[in-house]
Amino acid sequence: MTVLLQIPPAPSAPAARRRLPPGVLSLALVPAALLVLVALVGPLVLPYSPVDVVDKPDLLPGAAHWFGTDASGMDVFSRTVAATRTNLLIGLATTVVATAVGVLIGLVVGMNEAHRGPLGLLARGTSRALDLLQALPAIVIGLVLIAFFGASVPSLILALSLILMPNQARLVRAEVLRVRGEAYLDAARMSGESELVLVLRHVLPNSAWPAWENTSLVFGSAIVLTAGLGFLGVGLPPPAPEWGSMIAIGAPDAASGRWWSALFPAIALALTVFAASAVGRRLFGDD
Amino acid sequence: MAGLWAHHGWWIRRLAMLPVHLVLFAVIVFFLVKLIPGDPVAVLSGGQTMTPEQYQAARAALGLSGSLPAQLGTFLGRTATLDLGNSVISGTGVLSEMLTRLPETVELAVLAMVVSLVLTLVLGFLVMLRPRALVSRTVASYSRAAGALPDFCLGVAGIFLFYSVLRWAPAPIGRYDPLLNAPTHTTGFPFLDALLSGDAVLMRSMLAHLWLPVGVLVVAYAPMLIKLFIRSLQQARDAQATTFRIASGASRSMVLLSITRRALPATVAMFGTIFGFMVGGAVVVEQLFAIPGMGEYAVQAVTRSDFVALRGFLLVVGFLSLLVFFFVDVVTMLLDPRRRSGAAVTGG
Amino acid sequence: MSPVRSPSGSPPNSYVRRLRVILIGALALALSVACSTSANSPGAAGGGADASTVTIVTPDTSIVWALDNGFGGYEPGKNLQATLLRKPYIDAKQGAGVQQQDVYKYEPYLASGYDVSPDGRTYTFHLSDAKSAVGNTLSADDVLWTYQRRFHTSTSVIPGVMAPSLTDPATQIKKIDAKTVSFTLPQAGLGTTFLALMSDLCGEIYDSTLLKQHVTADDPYAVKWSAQNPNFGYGPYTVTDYQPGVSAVLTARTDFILGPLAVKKINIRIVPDPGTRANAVKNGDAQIAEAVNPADSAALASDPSVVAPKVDNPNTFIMMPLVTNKAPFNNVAVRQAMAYAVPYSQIVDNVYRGLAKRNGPGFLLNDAPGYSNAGFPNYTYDPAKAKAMLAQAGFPDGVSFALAVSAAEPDMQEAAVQIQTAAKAAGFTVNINKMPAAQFAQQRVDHSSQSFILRDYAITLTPPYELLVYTGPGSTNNFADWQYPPFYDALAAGNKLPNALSPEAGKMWNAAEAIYLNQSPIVFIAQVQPSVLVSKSVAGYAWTSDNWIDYKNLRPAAG
Repeated sequence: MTVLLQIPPAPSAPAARRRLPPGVLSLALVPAALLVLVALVGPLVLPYSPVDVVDKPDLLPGAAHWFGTDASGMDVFSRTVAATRTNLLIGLATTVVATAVGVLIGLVVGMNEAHRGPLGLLARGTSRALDLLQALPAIVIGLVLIAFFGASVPSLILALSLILMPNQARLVRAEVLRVRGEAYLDAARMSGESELVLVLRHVLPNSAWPAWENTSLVFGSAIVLTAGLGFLGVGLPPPAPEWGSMIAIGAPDAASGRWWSALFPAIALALTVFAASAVGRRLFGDD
Repeated sequence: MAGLWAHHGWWIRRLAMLPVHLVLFAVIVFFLVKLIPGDPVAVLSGGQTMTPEQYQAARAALGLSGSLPAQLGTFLGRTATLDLGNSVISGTGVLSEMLTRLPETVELAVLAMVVSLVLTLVLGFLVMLRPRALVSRTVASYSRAAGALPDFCLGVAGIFLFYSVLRWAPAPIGRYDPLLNAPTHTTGFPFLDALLSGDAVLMRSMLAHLWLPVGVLVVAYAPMLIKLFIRSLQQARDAQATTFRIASGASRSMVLLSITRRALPATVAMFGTIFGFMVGGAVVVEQLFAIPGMGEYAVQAVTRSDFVALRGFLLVVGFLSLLVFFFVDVVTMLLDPRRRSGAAVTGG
Repeated sequence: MSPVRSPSGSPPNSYVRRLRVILIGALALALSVACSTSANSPGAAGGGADASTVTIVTPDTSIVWALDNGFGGYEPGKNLQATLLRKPYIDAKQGAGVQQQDVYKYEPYLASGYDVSPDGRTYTFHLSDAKSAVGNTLSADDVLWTYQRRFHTSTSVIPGVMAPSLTDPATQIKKIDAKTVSFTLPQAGLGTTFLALMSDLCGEIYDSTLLKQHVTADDPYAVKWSAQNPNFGYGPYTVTDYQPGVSAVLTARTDFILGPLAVKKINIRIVPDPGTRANAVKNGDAQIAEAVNPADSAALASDPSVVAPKVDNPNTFIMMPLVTNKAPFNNVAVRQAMAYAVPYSQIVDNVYRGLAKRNGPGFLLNDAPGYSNAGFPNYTYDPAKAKAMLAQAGFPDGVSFALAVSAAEPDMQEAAVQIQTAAKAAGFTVNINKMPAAQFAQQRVDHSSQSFILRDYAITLTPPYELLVYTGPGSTNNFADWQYPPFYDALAAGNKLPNALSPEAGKMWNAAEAIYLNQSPIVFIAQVQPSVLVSKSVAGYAWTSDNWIDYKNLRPAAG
């Protein structure tokens, strides 16, 4: 699977990052906007039911079925469009959960790591465990988790968040360690701010940005991992439309020349990941 | 002595942490694998009729009786003596199976990584030195979308195009023609063994069978390296140190060398991550090309709820990844001594 | 830059020279050793030109060499073993070199013959002088020890399969002399089933002389040893190379009891992708592909170089067990309604592309001597009728249930989708529950899902065996958890008759099966053709009741 927990090299200083000029709708955001539109409106205007057998199997793309029918006789176009909502939902929800939990854990671990006593020990242990999780192939962890939870949209979101969260936490933790030593924190402490307020007002805004900048990658990884799990047979149960399972079911057909049932969801998948990285570049100048 | 420690302490300290990490890791693996659902006894008997006594005996024989801490203790003890147990399903030793599969997987990963590395260096410099050339712009935009084309899509498309239609690649049914004899087992690395045995026919067959899977891996993963390398090169080029060197009249090659040296650490870290990943997670390429390796072993272990096999796999792959991370750290610290004193830069 | 700097100046020359000599020496040694043993001569890779070698591409079935050491791919192991009896092959109607077993005839194999006692309960086998793979001669001790081992190994599935014919080898099997052995059955009516069992996997006899040499305290029957050392049988082939999950090479024996074999070498290659397996046979890279998708078989039906075997009466059934221990299928009317809500012909046409057929609603093969499948309920796809039945049973708003399907079986998932769509019209909401193979196996064993869809077959094809295979009281194989006394009584009445294949017995089996089908614990959907593709360059593919290919019957096609 093309899923690596990528770590963008930290820019030299947070001050150097570009901010999005307000009110500018860049060309780079068009594909993503289109995808969201398809996800919202698409299921309402489908020519066929995406979860029912509607015709003979393996029909070539044509006037009746724009993308043909798959091995079961379901309409590939309707399924590809309907899957957009499922896949985007999983991708977005995973990004939100993984980032939120990752930032929280990164904050807690980073702030407590230097402490003595059980809290510090726990924080240091968590920090090491997060590192060690990187040593396991994400796809195998995903397999185990999905096999355990069963495949459904919430369980996929949960499993993918668990897989993608540690990296977010690591990014934030590293930043917290840097910010912790800054002079303005001492100043705030001396002015009598409580530790919680301190963390929320000063540490959080100054250390969460690498996780924030990484979200487009998390989103892309979530999309590809979902598809990868589908390809390995632990995706959503049939006939739920989902790109990965569609590619998985279509792959043997493609090997024998019936290319359409795998090709169209593959294109949709590639477009989505591409659109996400374009958004990331636009928002964060991450080139 | 003190001088020696001052010079070498940084990597010795890093090395000393390895065993500690391994134990922690083994505990994580133990609990992760406990999650696999399904009853290995049911798989083992194929759902055939069993009496309750037979069932209990089979469970005990699989080491599934006893309390959780006791099971963990036994597991850690056995792991410490390199006893990874026998596969629940096939009864074969997990370690011996790892030892045959690992070299094959590592060989494939090494081939793909060598090609990726060469491509990264060549294309990275090309993009930096000739940013307006058509090739550069194509490379830059493809690498920007790194990961958009997952390896399974590329694999399916590759087989369809190069085997089914063009017939440029042989049938994707293994590492070499099924009618050829296997190479003599010297190192366990199939291609190296064929090379050592001087078997030209076998080597040619292996090359013919390997180019497509290696190509798929390279096209799928090299963009991530290239993307990172280009970005690091550009950052290093725009850095003050470079401006200073140019201003002070250093030769062009000296400037390039210095830029490269500062751009490499991040790329090396990513290189390690991708390599570690290929050893355990290149499942799909292995399945599509019938090159049975580590990843496929793991997938089968999960679907057959073969917890012993999965545990062994995770331990071996994790150990290997930790080892790779260690070397990556050492290399980055060599390239950039400033990193030596601070926190470890595992994987990043 | 290296922290370990080499001492200034070059190292002493002698050191370099010595190193060089050692390296060259090692390389030369490796070269000479390797070349002498396995070098391939140019031209060896001719792509299957050698007619005495057959390459088989198969998914990873996790090959199990010893039947009593777990459940897995038995096909390669079966070809290392020989059974006391065997079922003969006859040509299939299809032609093209395709054959099939005559499942109601039991001929000598390792036994040179057998006698039946006048009361029909004792079968006395006279053993041939077959030689094992390591050269030991077959003896009565081999037979006794083999069954002892199978009934005393916790991982053995044989006791479950052989009941009720054989339950206690110690009292039922007797050694008459070194070459004669007798089996006594509890009742004469089980005789046919017993003979069928002795012609299938359960009739394999191991080389006890060899195995006894590898017995340990932990492993009193050398089961673990034999899992790693497969050549302990009297069969046609021996394993000469085995790499788990990759390949196996089987080589023909020269002293096999039935004489020399046409195919000298069987090359088994594990290829996970079904499309690739089909393509490999089409392109001549392999001669036989196993577990091929029906769509691929159908697509290659017109290819002149490939044949998709079709036999007269395949024993693999697609079936949908409706688990009777919980709602909604604890209600017999709901089960019957379901049997009217399955789109039988659509599954045959859309999923199996004609490579399946429906010979009525039952599970017993309709060609068994003395048996007829007349008078059963006529289950066809009739959503209106199903809906009416549901309403009458108290479900006017329909019924929703979970259908478990294994992720490892794509054709079952496709069939499930067909059922889901079609059953909507009958008021059934089917929630397809796809799960890993292991989880599916567990749910099948503990009957925890509401329903299943699966493909399975009875290896032993006699009516009483087939009737009991999915209905045994308390059996893990009783998919639907259906235990119905009137059915057991009807079965017992049939078993009282001396000959299971007589017309009188046939009537009994028909009556028992009528109860089975009216109660509808399992919806039998269709019979599926073997999922193999065979190159026209190879003849002698034969369908067998165990659906594993008998390599010894293969031969290069004439012409």
